[in-house]
Amino acid sequence: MAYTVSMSAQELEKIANKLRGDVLEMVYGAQAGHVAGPLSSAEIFSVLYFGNVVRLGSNTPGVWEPFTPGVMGKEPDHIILSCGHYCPVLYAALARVGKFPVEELKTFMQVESRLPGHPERGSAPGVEVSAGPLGQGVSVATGIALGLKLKFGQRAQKDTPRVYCVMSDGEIQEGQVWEAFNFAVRRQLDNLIFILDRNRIQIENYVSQLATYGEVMGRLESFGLHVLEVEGNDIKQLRDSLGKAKMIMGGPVIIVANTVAGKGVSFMENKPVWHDKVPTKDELAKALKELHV
Amino acid sequence: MYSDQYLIPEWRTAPKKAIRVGVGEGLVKLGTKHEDIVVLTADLGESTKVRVFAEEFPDRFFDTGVAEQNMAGVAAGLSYAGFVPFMASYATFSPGRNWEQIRISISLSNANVKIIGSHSGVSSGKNGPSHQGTEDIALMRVLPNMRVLVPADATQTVAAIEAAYKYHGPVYIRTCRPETPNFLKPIPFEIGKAYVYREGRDVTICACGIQVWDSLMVAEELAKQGIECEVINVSSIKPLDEMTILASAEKTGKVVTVEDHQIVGGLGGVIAELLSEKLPTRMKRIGIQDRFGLSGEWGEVYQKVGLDRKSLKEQIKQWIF
Repeated sequence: MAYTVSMSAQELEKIANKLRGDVLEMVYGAQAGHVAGPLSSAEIFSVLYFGNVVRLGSNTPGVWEPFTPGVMGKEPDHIILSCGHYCPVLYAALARVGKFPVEELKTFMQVESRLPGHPERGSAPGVEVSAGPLGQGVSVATGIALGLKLKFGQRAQKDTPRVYCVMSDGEIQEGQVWEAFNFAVRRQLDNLIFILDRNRIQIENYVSQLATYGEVMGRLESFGLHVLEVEGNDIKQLRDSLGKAKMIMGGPVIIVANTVAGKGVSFMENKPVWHDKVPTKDELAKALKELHV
Repeated sequence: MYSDQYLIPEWRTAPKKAIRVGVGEGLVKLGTKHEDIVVLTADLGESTKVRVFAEEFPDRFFDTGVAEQNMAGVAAGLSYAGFVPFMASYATFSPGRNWEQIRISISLSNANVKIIGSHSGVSSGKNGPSHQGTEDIALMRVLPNMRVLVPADATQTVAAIEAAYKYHGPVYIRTCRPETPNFLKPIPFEIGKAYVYREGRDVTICACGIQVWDSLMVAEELAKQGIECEVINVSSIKPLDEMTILASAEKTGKVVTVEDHQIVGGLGGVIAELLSEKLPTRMKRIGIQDRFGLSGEWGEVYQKVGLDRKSLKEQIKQWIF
């Protein structure tokens, strides 16, 4: 699948549903794994990997070139998944974009698979950070963005690689996330773009029932982040916001993507129980039918 | 009997210099040559002694503020971008507070990050147990991929910094606050090697950190009473130089460990694991005995926990007979 050619919103929507189908088959095959978040964020991954917004490297992101001061212009952008339990959709996107065979998705969570239950840095091409304990990828993404600034200069330029970090709304209950925001803002890391999948559920409940720390948008703004709010299951809005985020200078951007948990499968939508429930064979068939894959 | 190879001739009366000072010296020395070295701290640049690096290379120094968890993640990210980060704080905060970040973002990822834990042990003194890192060796050596180094003086710390830089992968370096004898010759630090500083036939003393010089002095006093101690600096806790320690244990048949750390999981634990599996030997662990430290002047605190030289001598003497 060629990702350098600009795809229409309709085509990207089709890819999102294909990723959803992959996720459900992987979770069914493994009889374990997470569903609601990978489904809510499928458009985000479709746009990141196929939307011609991100400079994807043809190299293996898990393996890094040695440091050469002053050499620039050839490094790809980075896509960091911080909420590690979303990994089925990351693996599906990496396979569909050609980093490894789609067949390999069937090995999800198996012994000696390159696709473990939570991401491990370098386990498969394109898996850039180890994640699972929430909040950690946000700091690591910040560190990568800082390192790129050191190499490419303080002012973000055309050549400066961007770091895209996907995180979840349950995840921001971790204090480490706010430590990282503080640092990223103070360091003016304008090559760093967070995408917050705000699907409003977490493992035990609705986010609103567990976290009573006020209004998310206002808190992000008061931390000094440039905040963009979009409908996160809308391809066009997502793509436009990423384009806009790349133009914002002076500090990191966070795109708050309002999404629907379990999006695309009617009986999974907006139900905390589907955070990590494995579908039955019938449910899988019904879901794949709804997704037209 | 004493090693000319490793000890300076005037080791008994060596000038004092804090182990932590070696960190800044080592980093500045390397930083000139190697542009990929970056240094981080969580608001403790002065007391961990990395401040001198900041003065020399301000563009490669990052203070994350009081945020050790983020510091560990940012360091991991910098290493993925091709840099070699050294992150410094007090051992009780890093790796104490950010252990899980170190476990996943650094250790599981085999990130090329060097972690410096200062103010280790109760020797850090007056600030009390909250600021005395007495569990850090245990916390770090239990992690796969991690290397754990405990230099015995400032000179060896400079060498340990260089060895950590040359080694690709995560390394923990434990440092101390007080001014202690700077008694070693400047030779390269070998990760995975234990150094025999004094040969003896009656008992082996395995020590690390500032307890190494103390052990040499105790050995000298015990020699006057006819007890010949072999003194080994176990500055590489992980990997451990099993051959050197087993050879000594076989010779003396008695092994004492001395450390300013919990005896559980620290040097005492390391040596006990080795000997019980490969060469069961009578042994005694001297160190922090499953208790917290306390506030006070370093010397007085050592008397309270039994790490002053007089206590060391008495404990070893009573035990070997």
